[in-house]
Formats: sequence, structure tokens, C-alpha cells
Amino acid sequence: MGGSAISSDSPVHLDLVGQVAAGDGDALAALYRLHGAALFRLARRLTASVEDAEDVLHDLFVGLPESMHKYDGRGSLIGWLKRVLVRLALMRLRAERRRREVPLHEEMSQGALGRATDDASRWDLERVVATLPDDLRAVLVLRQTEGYSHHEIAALLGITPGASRVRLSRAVKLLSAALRGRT
Amino acid sequence: MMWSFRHPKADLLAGFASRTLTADEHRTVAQHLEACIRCRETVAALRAVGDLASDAEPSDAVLERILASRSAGVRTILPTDDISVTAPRRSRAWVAGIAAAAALLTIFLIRGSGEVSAGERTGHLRLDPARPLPGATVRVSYAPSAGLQGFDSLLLRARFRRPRDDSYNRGPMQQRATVLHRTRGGLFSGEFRLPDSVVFAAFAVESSSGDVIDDNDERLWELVTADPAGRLLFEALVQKQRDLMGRNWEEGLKTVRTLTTLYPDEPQAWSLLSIYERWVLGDRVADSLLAGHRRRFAAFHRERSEQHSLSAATVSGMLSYAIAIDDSGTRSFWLTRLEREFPDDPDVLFRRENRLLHEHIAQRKNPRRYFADLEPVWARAEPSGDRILWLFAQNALVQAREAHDTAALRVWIPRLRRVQRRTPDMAAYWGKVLLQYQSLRHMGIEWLRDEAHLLAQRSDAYRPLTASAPEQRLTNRTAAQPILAELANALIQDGDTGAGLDTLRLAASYGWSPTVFLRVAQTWAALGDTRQALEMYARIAADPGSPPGFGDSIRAATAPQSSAAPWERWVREARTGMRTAALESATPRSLTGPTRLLSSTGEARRLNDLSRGHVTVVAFWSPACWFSVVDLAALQRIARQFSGTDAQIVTIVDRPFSDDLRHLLREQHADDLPVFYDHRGDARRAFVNFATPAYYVLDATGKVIFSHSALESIPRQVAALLP
Repeated sequence: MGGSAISSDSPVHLDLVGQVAAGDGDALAALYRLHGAALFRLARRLTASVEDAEDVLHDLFVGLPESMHKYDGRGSLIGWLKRVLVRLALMRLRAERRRREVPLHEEMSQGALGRATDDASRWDLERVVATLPDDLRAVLVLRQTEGYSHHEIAALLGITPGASRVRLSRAVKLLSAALRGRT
Repeated sequence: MMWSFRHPKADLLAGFASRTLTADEHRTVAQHLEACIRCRETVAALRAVGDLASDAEPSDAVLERILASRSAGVRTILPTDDISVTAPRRSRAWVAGIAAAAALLTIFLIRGSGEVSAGERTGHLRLDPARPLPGATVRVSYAPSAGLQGFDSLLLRARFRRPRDDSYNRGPMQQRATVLHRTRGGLFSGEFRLPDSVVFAAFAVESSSGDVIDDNDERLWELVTADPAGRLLFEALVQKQRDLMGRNWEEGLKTVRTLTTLYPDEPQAWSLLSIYERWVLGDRVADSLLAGHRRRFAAFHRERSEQHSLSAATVSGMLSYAIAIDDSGTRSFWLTRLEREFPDDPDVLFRRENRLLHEHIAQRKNPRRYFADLEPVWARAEPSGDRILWLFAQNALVQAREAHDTAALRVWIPRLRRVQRRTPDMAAYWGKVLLQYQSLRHMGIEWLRDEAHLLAQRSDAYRPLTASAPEQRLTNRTAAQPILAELANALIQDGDTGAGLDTLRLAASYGWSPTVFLRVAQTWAALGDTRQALEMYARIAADPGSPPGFGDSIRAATAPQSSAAPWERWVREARTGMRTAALESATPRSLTGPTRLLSSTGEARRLNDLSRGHVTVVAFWSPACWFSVVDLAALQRIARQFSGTDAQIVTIVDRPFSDDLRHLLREQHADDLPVFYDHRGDARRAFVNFATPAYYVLDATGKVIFSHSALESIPRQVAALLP
């Protein structure tokens, strides 16, 4: 995985976009090898699940040839791909709403995170982030790892910038509570 | 300075962590952090969030799945409306004062490392150094699994591999590495010295008796040696790849990828990669990657074809790469070079054997000439001790058997035994062949006796790291059964009836094997002991894998000599015995992780849902694996045999549905079998199985009761689990 030597606006890259749109399987595979890992990492952070992340990545690339014409070449291709992927991941999370019958807030009050993190040497941030509610984790990831502004997050998630701030704040408080739980 | 102990708002801490605050905001937060441990930890956690999954990679199967879905006409509608193309930008306002603040922030967090906590199904083994030099002393610490917590000391078992070791893990390859002693805090520790010649090792931990093992869920723990600069050794990675053969092909692919990354100029590494891509990712993906390989090979060829004094490994690697990418022109160029420059290379000598086989056997049908011309070739090859020698000897032996050439058999049997790792199946097969010839019977009996003796000794060297001592005892007894049966027949035929019968009884007591029972029954019948023969025949009749009507035909044949009453009792008792024997080999475990599959109609199903409430045979197969394809018809017969019960068969294939796949199922008369596509590799991961054919039997709760079942054992394992 890699190939980052090709910049987004290079002729090779633009050729690739055209070939993918034309349904060329080799071009799709080449695009995957170019950006698949970065997109997977974003999906992995958003969904907190390898399996779901692979599904989202799969769905994105399967749908690309028919949707490639929506990319007008004005910005970076990876930026556009990431935004589509964020939407896909959020749609998937909303549709499934799996594994979280008990809201995290309740788990927190019961000390569940504290139990999960009671040994400092085994404290596992990834596990704590995975237990955040999907909507909070999405804002946290988009803001902290992808560097989106609250306006951009709001546009992607269909919420107001204020709601994005509130979600970030709640996510940080939960993380902070998890930290306290381990000490 | 007056400190306010109101903590900064969460958004400010997040901004500080992501360096998006203005200089003033940044200064204020930094001042607070100097005095507030809690906020420092929160910021450290937020920074670590930014690194989460930073080295995660999708599995190799994803691209294959994407291309397969596209080919199958699957389309998704992407949510692209209203997506602007502006990239997110980070504020640069954080710059002021950041260096001081960064120095202030100690990272308190140990990020998730994939470590498994003690007390779970698997423990956590730590080897230090993780990348030792060959010959280094390795310190070991082990946080035990739940099953190994109660012991004062444990054993670390190892499979040490040296540069010339063969693929797969057959034969006496295992040994004790060291004893681990309990330390304060419940951890176990110890150390051992890695032998100088060892480049790769795999490990498992077990109790002193070997009754309880922790094999890291069959993944084992591994040690790959490195050079003084920390770069993993080429031979170490090659050995790791060979060790993974048959136990985890995906890891094998990752290993050869690492090989090409660390050794990009080694054609052997690229040749291995192109082969693994085809094996693991399938033809479609491998074909899409072929152009890249051909470009790389052409560059290698341009650079090296005129170079003199290349090493044998390089020339051989170029030949392998040419073969892997199917470049016939350069293939003959590098083959000629290899043969001319390295005439004593074992690979060259083996090719010569192949040529003799073609010339003298396939074309001229002259086996005598083949064996005569082979002698000088073997004389040059054997001193190399190369792993290819057993193939060489095996080829010669097969020709000797085909030609009924006892002189050649007499010569080549000892040679095969010298160069072949000892495996019981070889002894059972060749022992039986030798017993057909009066002049070679003593050789056959000797080999069978040696093997039976070895199995009775239960040498631990043969026990795989993934098998407990009781499991291996069962395996050894099963392996010994056909050997003892052959031996018993030979003894009886040679007039030593008493010893023969004792050996037969021993064979029959070693486990449930209708084949052995039949052998024993026939012997009792030939000796005129109808009662003993019938008791043995009753066992065969009780076995659900026996042909329908077997019991009736035996009864019909023996009706004048015996009444029905004891026969029915024997069959009843035999059924109970069969159930007990089957359950002896049960190794119950739960499946971990998701088990999503695609049905032939494209519907997503979970194996957990499919298997609930049924005794389920799970059969992994691949159209690329002929052995698994030919088993389909037998699976279909088993499915029909158990129709009307709560048992079912679920077959899992590693390729998407296609007309070819459906045609193949029809061809094998297996069109009624339920087939599911393991589109995400979920099932492979859940079962920790990367081989075909592979069979598992699950009980009605979905728990795996029998793993890696032999096809002929499936009916009785199913019967044992049905109410």
C-alpha cells in the first residue's frame, strides 16, 4: 500500500480518475493501492471496527466508477474520497446502531470504563474510543485526526457547528472520565 | 501569578491537543497544564487519538472483494451530493510557545498494542530482544492464560528453523526451549539461548505435563532473527514463510511482502510474492499485478543478464521469477545459466532427474536406463542434504513401484528413509508396498516396526506446538492403527499367528477405525473365529459412515452360524463405543469474531445464525484446490444421509459465485450443497483456518466440537452430537 509519490493533481492521477470512471478494473485497483490504506485508517477510526472499516472501504470502491464524475478535479482527490467515505461510514453506523444497547454515559457511571482501564499498563485508548457513542466519536476523529473545522464537520454530519462543539466537548469529557477511571 | 483552578473547556483542550488555538488561548491552556495533571492526561489522550490506527492496513482480501463485487455486477450509490472539495485546514496559531508546552507533556498513555491480557483464553508472551541475532540469549516473560495460571512453572516449547528447513511443519521439529518460573505478580519468566544456526522460531507455552497449552489461538508466537542493524534476515523471513505454509497463508503473504520491502533487489523475494499473490488473492488480482512484476523482472534482467559471477541464489531467483511470471524466453536463459554455472546445485540436479524421467520413462519406457543414469546424479545430490532430496527419492521410488523393480526398491527405500522427515503415513504406505514382495518383506516389516515403536514412544519432537499431549496421544494411536494392522497381517502370513493376533487386538483397541476393524474381522474370519469376526463386523455396521445394508449383508452371510440376538446387542454396544470414541477427540471451543458470509443469492448471512439449533458440518473448500473439490460429492452424500435430522452441512468457498463455480458443483454432483462465499475472510479468521479442504463439526449451540476432521470421521462425529 502506498505510492504516495503521485500527487493528486499529477497527470497520472487525473488519468486514473478518468480510467476509473470508464470502469477500468486495473485503474480501480491502482487507485486502491494509492489511497486504500489512508481511507481504511479513517474508516477504522470512525467505525472502531476493522470489519466495518473494510466494509465501508469495499462499498466506497465498488461505487466509485459510477460516482467518479462527481469529482470535478478542483480539490485533492483524497480529500474528496475521505468526505465520501465519512458519509458512508456514518450511514453505516446509523443503520446498524449495533453493540450499544447501553448508552456509554450509563456505562461510565457504572465504572465500566474504569474497569476496562484499571491497570495503567494495560490502558487501551483504542478500546475507550471504540466505546464512545458513534456521533461523539465521529466528531472527535474528524476534529482531532483529520483537522476538520466545526463548520466542515457540521456540513458533513448534517448538524450545526454548535452541536459539533457540544459533541466534541462531551467526547473529551468521556475520555477524561476514562482516564480518571484508571487511576 | 494567580492560578485559576477552573479547568479549561473541553473544546480548548481539544484545540490545544490538535494545535488549533490562537497564541493567547494556547498560552492560557499551557499555563493551566503546568499545574493540572488531569488536563495534561486529557491532552495526552487527545493527542494519542490522533495516532489511533495510524499503522492499520486493510486485509489483502479487500481489493479482491472489491474487484469480485464489480465483476459480479454489484454497485453502490455513493453519498456524493453537496460534498465540497475544500480540504480541512489546520490553524497555524498554535506555533507560539508550543515547544515549551510539548516538553511539558509527558505521554502517560500506553496505547493499545494488541496485547492480550492475562486471564483470558490466550496469555501474553514477550520475547526480549524481539529481533535477536542468531545465537542471542532471549529473555521470556509470560502473563498466563486462564488455563495456565495455577502452575508454579511452565514449559516454553519451540519449533526452531534453520536456513535449509523445508516448507510446512512435518516431522520431529519441536523441542523444549526453556522452563518458565512463576515470579511475583503471577508472571512467568525464563530465558534461553537461540542456537547459532536457527533463524526463525515459533513458540507455545504449556503445563509441565503438556496437558494444558496456550498456542495463542493457534497463531503461536514468533521470533525472527535480524542482523546487527536490526534488519530482519532474509533467510529468517523465508523460514517464517515456510513455517506459515498450511497454517496461515495470509500471514505468509504479509511475510513475503516484508521480504520484498527489506530486500527489493532479491529476485527470489519477488518471485515468492508473485506466487503468494496468486495463491492468496486469486487469479483476478494476481493478473492485475502481473504487469508490475513483468516491468520489475525486465529491469532485473537488463541489469543482470550480462553480469558474470552472480550467486547461485540470484540466478536461481531470476529463474524462479521468470517461471512465476510465465516468461518463457528469459526462463530458458536463466535455466541455461543455472545449469552451466552451478551444475551441482540441488535444484539443477533435480531438474536433471526430471529430464531423465521424461526421456527414459515417459518417452522410451525404459526404467532400467532411468535408474542407471540416475545413480551419478544422486551421488552428486545427496551430500548437499538439500530439502529437495526427498522429492528426488520419492520420484525414483514411484518409478520402482510402477516397474515392480525390486532391485530399485531395495536401493531407493533406504535413501528415502535417510532424507525424508519421518511421518507415519509414509511408513504405512511404503511398508504395505514392500510386503507385496517376498524378497522385500523384511524391509517392510522393519519399517513398520520402527514406525510403530516411534509412535509408542510418543516422542515429543513430533508433537505440533498446537497439540496438547493428550491430543497427540490420540493422534499417535490413530496413526499407529493402520501400521499395526499391516504388521499383524504380515506376522500371521509369515506363520507367527499368536504375535499377529496380539498386534491385531492392539490395533483394534487404538481407536475407532472401520478400516482397521474390517482388517481385523477378516483375519478372525480367515482363522475360523466367527464370533470374534462378528463382534468386529458389528462395529463396522454401527458406524454411520459404513455403506447402507452392510450389517444386513453380514448377518445374511453368517445367519446359519449365529442367532440375531447377540448381533443386535453387539451393534448397540458398538454404537455406544463409537460415540465415546468420537467424543474422545472433541476439542470444544467458541468461534471468535464476526462470521458474515454471502449466500449464492448475494444475501449476507452469519454462520452463527445458520448453525444455531443444528449440528453443523462446516466445510472449507476452493475451486483451486482439487482435493477439496473431489470431497464435495462425499459431503453431498453425508448431507443426504443426515437429511431428516437436525444435522446440516455448510460449505464455505473462497471465491465469489460464478457460472464456473456452479458448473463445478454440478460436475461433482454437489449442486444441493449449501455454498457460502467467505467474502470478507470472516470465517477463515473465526476458525483460524487458511487451508482447504478443512472440516469442522459444530454442535447445536454453534460451538466448534471437532476441528480439522477427516472426511471419513464426519458421519460418526455428527452422529455423536445428535440427540
